[in-house]
Amino acid sequence: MMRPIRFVLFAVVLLAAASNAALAVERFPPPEFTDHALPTTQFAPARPAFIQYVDVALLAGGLALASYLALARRSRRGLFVLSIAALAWFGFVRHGCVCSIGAIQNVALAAGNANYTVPWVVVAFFVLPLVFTLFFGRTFCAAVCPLGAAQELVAVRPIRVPRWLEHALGLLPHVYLGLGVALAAVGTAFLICRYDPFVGFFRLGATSAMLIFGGCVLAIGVFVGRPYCRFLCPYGVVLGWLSRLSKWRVRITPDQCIGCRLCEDVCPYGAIEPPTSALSPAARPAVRGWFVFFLVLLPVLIAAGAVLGSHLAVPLSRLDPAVELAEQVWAEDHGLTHVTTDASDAFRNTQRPPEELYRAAQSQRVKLAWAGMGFGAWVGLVVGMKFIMLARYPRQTDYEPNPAACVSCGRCFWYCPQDQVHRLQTTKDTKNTKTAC
Amino acid sequence: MAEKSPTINRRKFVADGLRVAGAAGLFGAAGLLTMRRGGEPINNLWQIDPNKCVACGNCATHCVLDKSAAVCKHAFRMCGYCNLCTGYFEPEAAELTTGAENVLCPTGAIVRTFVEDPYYEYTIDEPKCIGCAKCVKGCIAFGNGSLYLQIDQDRCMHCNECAIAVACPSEAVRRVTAETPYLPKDGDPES
Amino acid sequence: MNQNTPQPESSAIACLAASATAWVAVVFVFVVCVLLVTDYARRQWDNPFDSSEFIALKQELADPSVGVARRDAIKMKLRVLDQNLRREFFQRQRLAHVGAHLLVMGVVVLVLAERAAATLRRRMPHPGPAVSPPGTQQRLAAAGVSRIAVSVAAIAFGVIAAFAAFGVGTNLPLAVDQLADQSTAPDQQRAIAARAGDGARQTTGVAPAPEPDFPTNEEIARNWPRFRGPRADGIAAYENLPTTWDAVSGKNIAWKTPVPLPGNNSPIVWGDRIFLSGADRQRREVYCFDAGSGRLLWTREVPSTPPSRSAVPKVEAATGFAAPTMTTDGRRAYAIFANGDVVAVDLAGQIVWSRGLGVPEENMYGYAASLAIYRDRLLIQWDEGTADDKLSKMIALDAATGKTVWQVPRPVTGSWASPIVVVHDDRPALVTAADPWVIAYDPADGHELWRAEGIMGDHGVTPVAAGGLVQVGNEYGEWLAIRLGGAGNVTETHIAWRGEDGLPDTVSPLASGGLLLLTTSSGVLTCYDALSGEMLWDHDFETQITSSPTAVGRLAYVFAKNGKSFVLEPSRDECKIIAENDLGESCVTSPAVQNGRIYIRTKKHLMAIGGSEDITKNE
Repeated sequence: MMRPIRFVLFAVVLLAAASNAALAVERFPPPEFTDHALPTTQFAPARPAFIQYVDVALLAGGLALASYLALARRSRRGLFVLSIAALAWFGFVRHGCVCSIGAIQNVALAAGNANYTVPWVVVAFFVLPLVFTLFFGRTFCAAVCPLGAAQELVAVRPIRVPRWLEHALGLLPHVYLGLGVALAAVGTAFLICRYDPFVGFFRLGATSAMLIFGGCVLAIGVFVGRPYCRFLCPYGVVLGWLSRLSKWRVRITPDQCIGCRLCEDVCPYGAIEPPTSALSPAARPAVRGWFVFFLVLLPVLIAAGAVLGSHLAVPLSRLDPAVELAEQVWAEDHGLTHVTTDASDAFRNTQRPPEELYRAAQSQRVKLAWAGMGFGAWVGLVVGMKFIMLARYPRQTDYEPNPAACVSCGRCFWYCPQDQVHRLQTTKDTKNTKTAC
Repeated sequence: MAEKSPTINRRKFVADGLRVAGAAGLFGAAGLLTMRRGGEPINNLWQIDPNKCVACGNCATHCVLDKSAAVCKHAFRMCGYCNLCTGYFEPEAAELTTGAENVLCPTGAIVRTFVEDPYYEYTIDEPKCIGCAKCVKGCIAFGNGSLYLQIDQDRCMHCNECAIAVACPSEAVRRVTAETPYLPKDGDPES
Repeated sequence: MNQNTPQPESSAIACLAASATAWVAVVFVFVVCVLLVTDYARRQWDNPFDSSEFIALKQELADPSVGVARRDAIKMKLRVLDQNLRREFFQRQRLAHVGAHLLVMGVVVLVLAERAAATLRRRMPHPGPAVSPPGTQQRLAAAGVSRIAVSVAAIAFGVIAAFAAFGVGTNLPLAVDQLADQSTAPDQQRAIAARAGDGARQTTGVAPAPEPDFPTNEEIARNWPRFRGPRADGIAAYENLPTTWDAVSGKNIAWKTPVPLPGNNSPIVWGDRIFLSGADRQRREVYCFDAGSGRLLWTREVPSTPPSRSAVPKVEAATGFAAPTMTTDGRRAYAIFANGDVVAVDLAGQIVWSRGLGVPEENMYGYAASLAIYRDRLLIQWDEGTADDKLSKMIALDAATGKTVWQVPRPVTGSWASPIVVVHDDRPALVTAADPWVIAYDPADGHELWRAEGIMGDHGVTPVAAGGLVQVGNEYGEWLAIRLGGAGNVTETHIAWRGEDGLPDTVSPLASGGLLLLTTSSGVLTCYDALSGEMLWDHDFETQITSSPTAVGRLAYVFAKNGKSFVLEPSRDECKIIAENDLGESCVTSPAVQNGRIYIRTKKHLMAIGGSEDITKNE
């Protein structure tokens, strides 16, 4: 038998007794040098802690400033400048992590796993925009969120998405939110982070799949305003609900609406609802019938969703590395595959019994069955509520932004003739005051 | 109008109260979450546990960064200073010279310097290191295991979900606290 | 357009310039994007460090037949190529970095230009004439369309979810309590049993025994349940054996029965039953003979079990397809074949369970390690490939169900020796040997008890334990006598002695009466003092021997490959030949000894040496 050179050379060196650590076998005792100092291993320092305080302070400041600019100053230009600043700081300087959208998952994980301690910065990023939205509407989306800002900048040739399509696609973020929370709560994956559209741009480099996805979102964003915010963003869903309840929010005109339709025309996000007339009395019984029907349908949809969702445990579990490893080890042990993976090899080296792994995988799958059931019920609830909302025909007299859809970008301010009149008045007043001085 | 206004005021008051309660609730929940210490400390930096690492090479290919955040570190106190370093040389190297045909590192990031007969010192030229773990594998297999991968906190972007951790076959990538950002193999981060 | 405010000329030019800039920026961004993506893809699929040229050159260099001049040329080439590849890698990386910056700059220019153009081009919006709010019919119709769209979306979600829920498969059983039952896929076993059974008699069932059911030490000692006997040391419990026989004339031969399929495995005996296995390229069979009469009681064909399917393993002719000796616990008999199929057959010949462990791909001579059994654990030493291949492992199956109880990787190269279980100080140790380690495991859970280094090369010698020592080695390295009772790496601490002369390459040692007998394939018998390692004498039989010797009282029985067999009385001083007999047929296997009889497998037959009266009833 031919012996490779290494054995011959190793034979020269006396083998020392093996130490306990599996990977740190002291086969060759370190020499004791007489006049040679051992170098020290150099480690780059961790990021300074103060940067987190800066982040949270800038977030709070940004939210306050955005709310002021949107509601008090009604300044589109101010919001624009602020959004560029947010894009620069939270995006390009801080590389897009942590963001409020991703923070949903950390909070979900903390709720689902008592062992996990969620960093306070993440909680702050999750809660601050919510609280601001509760009082001022979605000003976070207008000028603080770097993802929103990136899309805001490219929305130059927006077309109108038909209402029906908007309603149908509007379900997507809810589903995404449900899925993201379900997977994060059981600790399987942070799906929302995995498909972050712009983080690759913020870091000036990423896998081509990420770059292509981000590029597509931006390209679509030229023609369809804020596609990620409207049809994917899970945080936008939460902000939308809170915005409905907000104390103050963006109003198009400070005075009487004159029905000129300019604001509706200029809004790239289809967020402005036209006035509606009351339904004719003849139609009312049928409408009421539909309403009651959907009210009854709601629990049915929730139940159906829950049943279907509980069957999602297996497909969802395939996203879990631990379950995937258990599947692989099982397949190897039962002769279903010849090919081992790095993960199964590593597992074999730990000498842990496979049963332990199987049981862990199964308990994870049980958790995922519950999470899937919750997710299914949630989707059922969302669809049912959508139907109920569509069966309502509220009367509206003015052109008004839909509080859930309006991202407070402030484009309509400049276009509203009434607003212009108001501004002129204010400017004159200021001038008068100045001359008086 | 006069009759309506008390109702409106009351409603407004109730709504405001609810909003304040909601905000208080949100802050309260946030406070609880922040105060609550789970079983773990606040771990918000990613790091490789060298005792679990199997040197599979995924760090080089799965990091979201073009230049992986994982780099090779050398625990000098564990090193045997071998002439035939299996982290430095190809397994079947014909000669122990620094010629490309004998050297394992694809980027030439390991520097071999003579100390005294028969000992050689190996240092990592980190800017060149791509975290491929070839040397780590060789050192674990036949040497003392003094070469190991760590995530350079300077290079790391601190993603919320680390792509290397997802791809790691041995669950070696985990979150650590900012106080202990490195898991050095010989136990001395700074000294 | 008719509502455009009139623009001054300079403004129009500026607008045009801004527009043009925007378009240039669009093209620039697009080009950079395409370049980045293609560059990224190229780096993924065509990494400079995976250069095929580089690898080919390295392989050529590793070939020892390449001449010196050519080697020097390759070295120079490699060095130049390496430098170029490195340069290329870092250049590409730098390019990607610069590209990303260019992209962001391009986008910034694009946005600014587009903004400027939009501002300069800004015209009064033309929302059209004021419209009256939609009437009842319009509102109902719009709501209806939206409702349909939402329904379609909801149905789409449902369909996707249903596809995912019922389309994504899993191997792992769904419920926790199914884990134990499903460990060897009972459906599959039942199918095999049904195919194998003859209709009337069905499988004895696969339900795991609630209590471990295994024979007592006394039961084992009375029988010959595995390769080299109850303690795997070739020492017989009986002394009432003939010393002379002749198969040609039939003298002292109780019976002689042909064995259908070839196999280099040795007989095992339990009570009045003898088990053997045989196999060729296609078929694998287990045989049961009546010890008294030599009648073939039953033959059980073993169907191939996934994943082996119909794959034919690569074996050397000298090894064959059924080299490993079977084992039995008196409840079932177990066999393993060269294709990695393990089978448990009950005493009536029905398959209880069967498993495919995978076809050993990296086993150059063919799988040959015999099975070992300890209590209710069937122990399989599965060594193949090199240590780097990480293919070697020790597997313990539940004897009743075939379910894996534990499995541990082994840092060794392929081997052809069998594992033994040694009980020392009431603690069992499963001892294995392969290049480079002798490793002892706890048979209960597979954790390593101790290991000693020193085995080299292709190892086929089964260890033997005697007098508190485990002895093993082969002619490529040295002989190791390892004291039991150590922990961890005992290479430096527990080696009692090392030997160098007359080391075997295939034949397992015999340690009996304070002597250690080593036999080489060429027929040289070397005697050591088992405890001190002092070499006492050697004797050349001048004929090839691959059968392992057996001790009967103070005598030793040696069977040569040509069928000649010797009965010796070894002592510290000499090798006294008592008798020389003839089997009349080639013999490469080791005998099994049971009350008054020696059972030995020759090339074509199973023979019983001893009185013709039925002496198989033990009590």
